Amino acid sequence: MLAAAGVLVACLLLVSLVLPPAVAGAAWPARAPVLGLLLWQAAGLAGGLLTLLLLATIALAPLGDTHVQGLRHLDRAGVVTWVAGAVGLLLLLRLLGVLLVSTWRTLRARRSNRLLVDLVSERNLLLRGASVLDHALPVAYCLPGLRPRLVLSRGALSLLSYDELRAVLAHEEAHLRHRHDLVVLPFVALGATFPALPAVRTAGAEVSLLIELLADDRAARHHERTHLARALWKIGTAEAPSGALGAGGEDVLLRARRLLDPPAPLSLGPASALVALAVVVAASPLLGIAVPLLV
Amino acid sequence: METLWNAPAPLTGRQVADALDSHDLAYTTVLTVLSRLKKKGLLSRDATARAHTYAAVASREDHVAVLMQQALGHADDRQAALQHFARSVTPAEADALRRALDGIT
Repeated sequence: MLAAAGVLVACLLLVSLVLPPAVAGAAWPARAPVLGLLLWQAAGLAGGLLTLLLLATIALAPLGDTHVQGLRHLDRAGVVTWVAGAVGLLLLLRLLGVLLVSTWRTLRARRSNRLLVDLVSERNLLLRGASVLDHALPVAYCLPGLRPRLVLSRGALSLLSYDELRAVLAHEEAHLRHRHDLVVLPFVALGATFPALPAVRTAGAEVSLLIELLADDRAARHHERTHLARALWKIGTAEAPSGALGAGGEDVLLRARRLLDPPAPLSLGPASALVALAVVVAASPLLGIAVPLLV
Repeated sequence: METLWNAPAPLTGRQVADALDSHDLAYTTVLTVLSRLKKKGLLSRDATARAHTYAAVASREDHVAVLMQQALGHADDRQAALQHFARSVTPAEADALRRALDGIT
């Protein structure tokens, strides 16, 4: 069981300290956003499972040589088992609880936002049924869900050309159609549970950038990349009220450069290697259970 | 909502129904809609009068302002509720963007 704990600690360190900065600093996620998302999801899942399994291993170690043996002799549980078990259980409950609460909060915020949008905006049928808000500042966003909304402000309508508007709408529709909100949700919950962990913050920021890249690529299938890049510039540099300035600005610059000078997609070899890596990362907690059976 | 926004004073259900005359709505339907909007926090009801009167809690402009604040990222709990097209960039980033675009056109 000592070997199992050692393996789990090693995996946990790799997943939480080595992997996140390596992936965030690499150039390939911009060439294959889907694989980037896959790896982040694998890392998030593995991080949670490894931590829980490590606590379970510590709890069961005094009771037997494998996890199963330990579970059989739970009646001999001592202080170590009780403390580690309780911490593990609390952590599990907290993770699930935060996921539930943040999902519920998101849904509620979305519902009230949609109610207000429907109340005060006018649908523009020429622009794919987008809801238009009567406000001079340019904004464009979408409200995901079963009854999604595309929202534009009057400011965005007057700032962007028709081609640019259609490219922006295609980008937002890609978010809605592929339910990118569901991809982001677990990372929002993870961020709410462990706001101080650098790995969690990196993962959250990277995932939200990657879904933007995906939506950009979708929009670029039917629209000129330059139109989308110009729209990014126009909306990004429109005068924003203080406080909002600079938030996510780096991402906008990165996206515009990528649109204007698109990198080649990953070839099959490296892409398969990354899929394999994601599978290994996601399966790493199994190592912890396997090691005591083999040793 | 439009009717109540345009009205100078709170209206009763009957008055709202009369104002919406052209829409051919039943009085009971109007009452149902009014109480639903109240439940959603968009209307206030004054129950002191014999016939309850309704008034809009906030103007159309107020609601737009709230939505714009959320869209511009002033409210933090909304991060997952909506997905922006683009956020504001710093002046240095704007320069870099401008140069990138100039290279193309």
